[in-house]
Amino acid sequence: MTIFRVFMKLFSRSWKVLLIYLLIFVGAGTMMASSNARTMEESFQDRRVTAVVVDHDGSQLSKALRDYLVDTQNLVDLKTEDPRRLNDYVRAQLADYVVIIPQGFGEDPDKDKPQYISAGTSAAAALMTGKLNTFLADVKAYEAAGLSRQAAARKAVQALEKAAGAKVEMLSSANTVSRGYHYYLFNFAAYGVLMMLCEAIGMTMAGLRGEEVSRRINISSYSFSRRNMETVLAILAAALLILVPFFIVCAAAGRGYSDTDKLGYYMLNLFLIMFPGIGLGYLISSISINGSLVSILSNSVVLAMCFISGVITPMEFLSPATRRLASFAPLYWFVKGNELIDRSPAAQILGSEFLTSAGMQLLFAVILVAAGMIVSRVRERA
Amino acid sequence: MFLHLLIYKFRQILRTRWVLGWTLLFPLILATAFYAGFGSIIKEESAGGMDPVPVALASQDADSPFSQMIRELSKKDAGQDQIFELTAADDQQARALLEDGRVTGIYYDNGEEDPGLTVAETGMNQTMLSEFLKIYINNYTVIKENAEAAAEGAADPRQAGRLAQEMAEKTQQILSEEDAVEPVKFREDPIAPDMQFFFALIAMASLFSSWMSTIFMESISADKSAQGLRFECSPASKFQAVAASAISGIIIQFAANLVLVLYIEHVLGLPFGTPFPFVLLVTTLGGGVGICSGMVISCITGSSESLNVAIPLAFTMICSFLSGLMVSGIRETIELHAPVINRINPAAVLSDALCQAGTYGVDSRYWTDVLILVIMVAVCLVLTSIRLSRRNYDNI
Repeated sequence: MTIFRVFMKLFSRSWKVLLIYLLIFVGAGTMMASSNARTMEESFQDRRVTAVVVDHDGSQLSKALRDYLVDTQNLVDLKTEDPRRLNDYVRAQLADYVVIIPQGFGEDPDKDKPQYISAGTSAAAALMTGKLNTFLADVKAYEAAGLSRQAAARKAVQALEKAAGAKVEMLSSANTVSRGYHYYLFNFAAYGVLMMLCEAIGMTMAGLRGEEVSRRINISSYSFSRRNMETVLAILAAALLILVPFFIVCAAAGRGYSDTDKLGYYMLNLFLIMFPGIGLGYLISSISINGSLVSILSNSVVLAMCFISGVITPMEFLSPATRRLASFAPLYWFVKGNELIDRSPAAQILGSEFLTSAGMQLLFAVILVAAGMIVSRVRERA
Repeated sequence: MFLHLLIYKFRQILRTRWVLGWTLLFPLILATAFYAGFGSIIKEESAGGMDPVPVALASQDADSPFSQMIRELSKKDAGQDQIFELTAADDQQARALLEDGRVTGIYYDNGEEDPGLTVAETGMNQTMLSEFLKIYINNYTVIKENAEAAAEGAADPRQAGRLAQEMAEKTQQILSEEDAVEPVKFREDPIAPDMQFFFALIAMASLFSSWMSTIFMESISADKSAQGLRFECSPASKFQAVAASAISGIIIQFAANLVLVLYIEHVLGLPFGTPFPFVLLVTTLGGGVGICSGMVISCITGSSESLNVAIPLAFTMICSFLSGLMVSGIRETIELHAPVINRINPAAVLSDALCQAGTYGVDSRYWTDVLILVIMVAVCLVLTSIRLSRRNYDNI
């Protein structure tokens, strides 16, 4: 199994680059998955806005306002009172809303009005501004009826608590979009797997096609079929070596999440994308044996595919034209498979839709390998 | 001699096609992919305004106060934002619309009890619908309590009715005011927050120029190539060679960044919100950091070819990731917990300079970032000089 050993030896030289991509996946993938994942609730619950309150006043009214927000929203401390810094954090979604209560607010709320920072006009901003306007209007209204400011603030809170009991029901049979942790994790894993396969398989095949190595192989006693069989075995072995760490990381990171029962299906889908990844690596190595160019092509193709196929930006935010273009990429069908696994009960996943997604991925693998063979033959003749 | 070296360094790079492809084409491809992925989101953010929330109203009394309030909030007026996009329907039709996702919620108003809301899932838009329902119930409670309190002190029922009516009107007027808070104003037309992905891309493209440096250093280092061996044996000035390499690399990277910036701003139509010279200044310095850091890396890695590929790649990808290339908000998270990392990460500094200039204008924060980049270039050049000047070989 000389060719197999040579392949694995060349493959092992890429371990540093592979480790970088694995670490990027562990860091970025788990972060992206935990920030995006949502679980379906059975009853309606108000979304809480992540808010910051900066109180320069310290009056009873400002404390009443702050207490009201503590009970109804997620208040966080961003360790700064600089409005510009706070605006940066809001734009980066570390908080949705900032309330700055100026000095003198407790004395004259109409003159020294609270100020707010929000990222443009969003539902969260409208929600919070509405809440603040309602609370302060209630206090003003109760004061107009003759109550003291303190009593008015207490009554305002009571009125709002009564309103919080408003009847809001959930429709159980709706077609909703709410994705689990594993969906996002495995989407990002596909990026890591494809990058590693393209780079590793691409560079190793480029090494095998190098002048000295290929000449030695050609003059050996190995038959054509044995050479190819060992090469194919080596490629599959290398691909599995790349895939296994992803399985381990995904299984470990996703423990405790509600969609863990579908882990096997996600892994199956990831196993399927391995084949187009091998095909892509083979095609890239046919185009060039220069290691740097292989790296450029791998990064260009895989990253571009990730952005248009729903890996980085969710599919529902992509324009119809982008989705049509993405359907010519194997990663799009992988994401479709993941969507199916996410929204379906475990017992109903393996149906015609999953088989279509799997079939398309394998078809792309065949097309990419065939394209690689054609390019190799053309280059040999040239 | 210097001019000769400069010209030949240019020719060396222009003949290395994969470097030109990497420097010029890869950022353009990625920028196009970014645009395909979320260009429309950026344009919507820039346009401002919130899309009205589609909602259905199943009301048994079209003239009830609640129905009137919902209709008022659904009007397209010049003076107020349209909050809802209203569809009047009966219960069955409304439920069908909700199941299909064509409305976000259904308001129910039967005129006798408090109105209700049905939604399909928990989300921010649904929470906003719930909030308007609560505002209505809250206002009703406050008006009722105030009216009852005003009527308590009346001498007779007629006076009580009049006092209650007056208090109710007064309370309603107070509750309809929506100016208890005001926004903090920074700048008119700041750039969209998601432009930070493009800034991180420019930073990554600038740092990838470190691979150009590895080519330059290969040709002047005896332990990396036969050409380098001949060069080090010659009387040619190493300092001039390094300076010529750095300048030619920076000029090529400047041209590549210029093309990228023009492509993003004019072809993709995504404005930077900053005068063009200030954008070029930062991106040129970023390219300088990329080139000079590549020289430092090349001095450290010695003759190992795999390290010559892996370390620039790792350096660039880690810096780019921490500046927000793949995960939004990571730079600000680091700023919150470990700001020193953002000060030494060139990608984060470059990205921050462009974000600050686009959001607040060119001011002290921008110039601080420019100064940090200049210091990074200087430090890298000093380290490279020290390392090269002290190098000698026992054998090669």
